[in-house]
Amino acid sequence: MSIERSQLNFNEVAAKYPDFPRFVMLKTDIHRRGVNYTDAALESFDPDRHQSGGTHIFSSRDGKLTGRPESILLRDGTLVLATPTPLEQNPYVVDLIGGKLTLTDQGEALDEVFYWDKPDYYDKRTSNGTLMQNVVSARPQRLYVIPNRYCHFWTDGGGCKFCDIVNNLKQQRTEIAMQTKIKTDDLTETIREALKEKGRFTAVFLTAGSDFRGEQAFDRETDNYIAILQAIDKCFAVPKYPSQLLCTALKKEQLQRIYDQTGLMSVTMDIEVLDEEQFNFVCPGKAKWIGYQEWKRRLYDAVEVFGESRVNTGIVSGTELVAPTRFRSEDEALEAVLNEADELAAHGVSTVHMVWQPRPESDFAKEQNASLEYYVRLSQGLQDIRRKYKLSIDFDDYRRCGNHPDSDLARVFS
Amino acid sequence: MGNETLTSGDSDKAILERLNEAGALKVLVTLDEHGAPHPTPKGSIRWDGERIVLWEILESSHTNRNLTRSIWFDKPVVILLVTADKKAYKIAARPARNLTAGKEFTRHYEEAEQQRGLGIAAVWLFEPLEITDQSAGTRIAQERAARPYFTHLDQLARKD
Repeated sequence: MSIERSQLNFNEVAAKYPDFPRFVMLKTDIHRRGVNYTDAALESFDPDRHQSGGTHIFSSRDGKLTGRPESILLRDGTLVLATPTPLEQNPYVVDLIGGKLTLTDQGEALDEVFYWDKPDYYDKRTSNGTLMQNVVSARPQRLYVIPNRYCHFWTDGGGCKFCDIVNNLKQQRTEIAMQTKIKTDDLTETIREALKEKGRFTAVFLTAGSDFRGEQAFDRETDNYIAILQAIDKCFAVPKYPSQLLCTALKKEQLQRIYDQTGLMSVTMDIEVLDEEQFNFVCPGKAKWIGYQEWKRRLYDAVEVFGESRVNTGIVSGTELVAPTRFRSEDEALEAVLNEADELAAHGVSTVHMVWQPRPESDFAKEQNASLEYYVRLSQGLQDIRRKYKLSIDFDDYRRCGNHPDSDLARVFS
Repeated sequence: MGNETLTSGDSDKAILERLNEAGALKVLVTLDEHGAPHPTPKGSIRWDGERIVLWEILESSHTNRNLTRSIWFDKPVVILLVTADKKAYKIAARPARNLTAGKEFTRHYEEAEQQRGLGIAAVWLFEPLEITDQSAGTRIAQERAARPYFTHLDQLARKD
């Protein structure tokens, strides 16, 4: 069964939604279609000054890991998190025009863009000899800690179908000597070094693969987060600091342990798809070990531990449209997703979306993401729901994160 | 999303240089989501030879939000400059770039910390669009020359 999708192009969507910022729309479409760099653009890329890709949790859309820019920034400070994409997939193209790095589409120059500057700590090594960028990755303003790059759902045959975390890890081990787990002393040393750079970072972010091992399920994952966060806590003079943990939906007592024993301020537990039937299909590991309704209950419990505006969930938007979805059109899917997001928000839980970027090493490599119009309406809908329930998204916004077009919209609201 | 560079004439550049004078009052006027003007004194505004620079201290400020809206929807802002010798200029400008990370931002951040003992949330770079002399003397002379009917006759009466 084919899904009824919007066929509007960028200019048509922009004309139809004039109150939606073009910068955020452009970022959304770059995430949707991907990006490619011309030879001239790559010649202007200076690996001593600019940040190269390769250390993050997911792979690129062309399957290559290193030697290219991590990504780009737009003039308004909007962060783009798109990876190099083969030209035959019709990505946006970054070129060098008149000495300026320029985003183009079908040969038309759109706007000046900028490579990410590399953090000062990136090429340094810890006392153990570990390259610091392999201990902590960076976004322009976020320290990105991945204490364990292996997801145990994969051993159980239950990895999420859009995800390539374990296959990416295999490539990272081979090509850049990435370790599966990081050492706590390496971590403390790296964070301390990173914080020496004035005005650079605004938040610490932590995520890892799911680990259901332990006396009760996910105790091992919980213990690991506590150890890792305590290694980070040593670098701060305050008991709580801007920080976010993206984890499996842990039980309330597990979350309480993390909150009580560490400096963590906020938590994200990604439900990935806001539809129970599709969740069971797309995320078999999460469905087996926790379940859709229980995932939601645990999100509500998390609000009791961390407080309102400190808990959210993420969705990989567009995966709700993959067959055998029950939805017959984007309109139908959008209504259902926003209804679910509304229910979550009524319990103090915010929803953010990530534009799904099909990756070659995932089960969904050949599937198609949603239309630009769908993503624009979804972003606006999620931000409107946050305003309706007066939920702040400061901890996961354009600056602390940058991967959610909907929370980019929060920039202009108090 | 236009990004064309607008150049000022020599006299305009001389006026823009006056943004850097000690004792100059600089008021930035932005528009909120309802179109209401939001004026704020901004001592950090200066001309760097190419662009007008503003240090924004508060990430959640009305100004920061309004400037974001301004760059998103290509709406100009106005800077009112009043110099120590009481000359007044209205400088219409377009936010061209918002810096929140990277080496250039760090340079501003360190400079602000040194000068004020306080970090900054963002740097805004503006392209000047148009400069209008708003000084009372200049405006009176302009009106008398161009709109001779706009007066009271007692102002024109013989005094003897």
